This record gives sequence, C-alpha cells and structure tokens, in this order.
Amino acid sequence: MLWGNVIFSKVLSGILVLFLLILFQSLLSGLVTIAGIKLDLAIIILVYLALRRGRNYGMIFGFLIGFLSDIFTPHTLGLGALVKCLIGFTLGSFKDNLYLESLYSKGAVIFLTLLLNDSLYYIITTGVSDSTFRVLSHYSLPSAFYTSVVGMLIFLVAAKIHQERLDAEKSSVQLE
Amino acid sequence: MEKFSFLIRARKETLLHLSTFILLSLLLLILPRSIKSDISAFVFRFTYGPFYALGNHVKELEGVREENKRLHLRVMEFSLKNFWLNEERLENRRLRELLDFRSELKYKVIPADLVAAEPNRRHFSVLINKGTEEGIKKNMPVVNMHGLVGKTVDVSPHTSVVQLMTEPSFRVSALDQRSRVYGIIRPGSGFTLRLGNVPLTEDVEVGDGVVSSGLGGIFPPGIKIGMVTAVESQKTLSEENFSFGIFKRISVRPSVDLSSLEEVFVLEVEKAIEGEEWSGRE
Repeated sequence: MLWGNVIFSKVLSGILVLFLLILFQSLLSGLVTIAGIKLDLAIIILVYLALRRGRNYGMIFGFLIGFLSDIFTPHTLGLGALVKCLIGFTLGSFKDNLYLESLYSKGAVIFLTLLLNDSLYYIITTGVSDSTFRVLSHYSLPSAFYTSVVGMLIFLVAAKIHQERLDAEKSSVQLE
Repeated sequence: MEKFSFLIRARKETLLHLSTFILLSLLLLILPRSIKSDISAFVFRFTYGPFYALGNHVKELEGVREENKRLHLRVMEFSLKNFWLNEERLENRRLRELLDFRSELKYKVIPADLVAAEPNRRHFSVLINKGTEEGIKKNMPVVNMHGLVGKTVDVSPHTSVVQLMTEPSFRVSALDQRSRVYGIIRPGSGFTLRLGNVPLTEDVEVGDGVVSSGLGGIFPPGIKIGMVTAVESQKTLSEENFSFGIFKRISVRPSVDLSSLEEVFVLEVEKAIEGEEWSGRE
C-alpha cells in the first residue's frame, strides 16, 4: 500500500512538473530569452530528475518532454523523444556513481547534456555538415551556457529546499 | 544471492522499458507524415494550445488600442497610395497590352495568426492557425508586411508548420534589387542570412535590397527578403563550400524580425482573386 502511494505521488509530481514546464514554455520562455538566446528549462529538469530519481524516471521523463518538443516539428516526430529518452536513461544510470558535490560540476553536466542533445538531433536530421556546426555554435553553445548558469541556480535552490525538508523531518523524529 | 537476483530482475525490467520507449520513438518516426501531423496537432490542442491561446489573447488585448490608432493611420496612407497605384496599374496594363506581354501570376492572400513558436532554442519553425480547411497546402510562401517569412512544410486541418528562413535547409532564389544579380539565400549565423552563388565579378554592395527572384517555383518574384549588410570579396578559402574563392561572401539582414512574429500571410500563388493580379514577373 505504501509502495503504491509512493508510485502515485511520483506520478503526480511528474505530471505537475510537465504541467509547469508546458506553462513556462508557452507563456514565460519569451520573458527570459536574452538576445535571442533561449533558456532550455526541459534540459535542466531532465538532468535534475534523472540524477535524483534514476534511469527509469529519466527515461520516461526524457521521452515525454522530447515528445512534447517534437509536436512543433511533426516531420521529426519521435526523434526528440528518442534522443531525450536515451539521455535521461544514461544520466539516470549515473545516479549512484556520479558524485556531483560542487555546483559547477552540475552546471557542466547541464552544459554537456544540452550539447549532446542538440548534436544528436542535428546529426540525425541533417548529417554532419557545415550547417550542423554553425547551428551548434550559434544556437546551442550560447544556450548551453545560459541554461547551465540558470540550472546551477535552480539546483542551489532545490538543494536548500531539500536540506530544509530533511532538517524538519529529523527534528520531528527527535520530538517523537 | 537474493539481493543479486533482485538486481538482475530490475536490470531486465529497465532494459525492457528502455526498449519499449525506443521502439515507440522509432514507430513515431516511421509513421506517414500526415499521421504525424495529426498526432502533433491533437497533442498540441490539449497541451500547449490553451496556454498559447491565453497568452495570445492577453497580448492582443494589451496592444489593441494602440494598434487601432496605428492601423487607422496606415489605412489613410494606403488609401492615398492606392489612388496613385491605380493610375500606375492602368498605365502598366496599357503598356503590357502594347508590348503583348503574357498574363501575370495570380495569387490569393490567406491571413493567419501565429499560435506557437518552437519552445526550444531554435528559431526554425512556427505554428499558424490555418490549415488545409482554410486552403493551406505544403510549400506555400509565407510573408508579413515587412517581407518573406518562410514556407509551409506540414499542414493539418486547422494548423500549419511554417519553416522559417533561418532553418538550415531553407533555400530561396533571390536577386539584388539594384544590380539584378541572382543568388541563393540560405541561413547564416543567428538571425542573419547569406546570399550565396554570387560570383566575385558581380556587383553587390552593402545596403542593396534583396528580393525573391521567382525562380524555383515556390516563391513569387519581388518579395522583400532583406538588405545586404556585408560583402567580402577576398579570394580566400572560406568555411562554406560554395565560396571557394569564386563567389562573394554576402551577409543579408532579414527585413522580417523572425523572433517576434505575430500575424503572417500565406500566399496561394496562381489562385485568382477578382480584380487583383500579380505584376512582378520579369
């Protein structure tokens, strides 16, 4: 019963995260775009969830956010889902082996994940050509840098909230 | 031992899940294009659709008064211009009759609103609120009042995907308005464009206007594309294949701000409207 509740709460929180992501992408992403450089919140969330909850969660979440991004380019429907699903799975597999203590290392993971995601996507769709490198250097690199900086801040806030929750749980156990 | 067997089972389950998702993705990839478009339109309607509709509604309300004032002024301007253009048109017709020119290209304009742009960092495509039911087909030119925006690539009953000029595979035959030199417009870095295939000997200068040439069959001639911002003529080995010291390296700034598109017009070329005709064919 307890296990069922845990799964149910995980599914609910997953749906909530997806809902917030769609809300952000639809209404707010324009507000945080700087000089045409867009923030990829989906990648931040994918990295965070995969590293925190493991490969199953990373895989499912990667597939879903990839699928949602694919609906804007129907001719490649399924490709974003495939790429992000594999990335989520790979990152999630490192959950217990990758000790990312410093904030910079987390930022580096976000940076590399975004570049890997874009590289796979463009190479599969257009092959390796001049335009692939041009797209990667002009769109992906600035966005990867911006996203990793914002991602570090989000990770910092998330870690503080997590720590506060742990402290509260500890003190309630001590009181009992 | 028990712990070990649990690990094996968990690993098998995980691999099974992964295979399922990979298969599902591949299945989506190999689906026919029309089914992909239908699925995308259906999912969009229930996910991003309501939020974009809300955002667009708020945006519309924000600027509606200012827009109204501005449009009144524009109507006045255009009314005055219209008198002059009518005169020109009549003169043009007379001259064409004298020269025995063939009939011009005809087209119809379908207005459409932008309902969504790609949420990720690429500025490669946008979604508009008109589809096959409104007469949109694949490969129709899309413009706004400033010039060329792109072309339709995926069409559903009530929505269409517009491939922007910045998409890596986008190409349009173009010409320099001043010197009438032909070239091919392709995406450059960021929001800029490149006018390729222009030999070093040809006359192209900074500040020249670039318009579609009408060659290629998709885009009608005379649509404004942008303005030349840089011309490099050095006989150096360039990063681009098309400029191995034979062609000029020409940067073009698009006349349309592709990062803030709102209203666009889809051109249905070769569809006549009463009293209107295309007069730009050379």
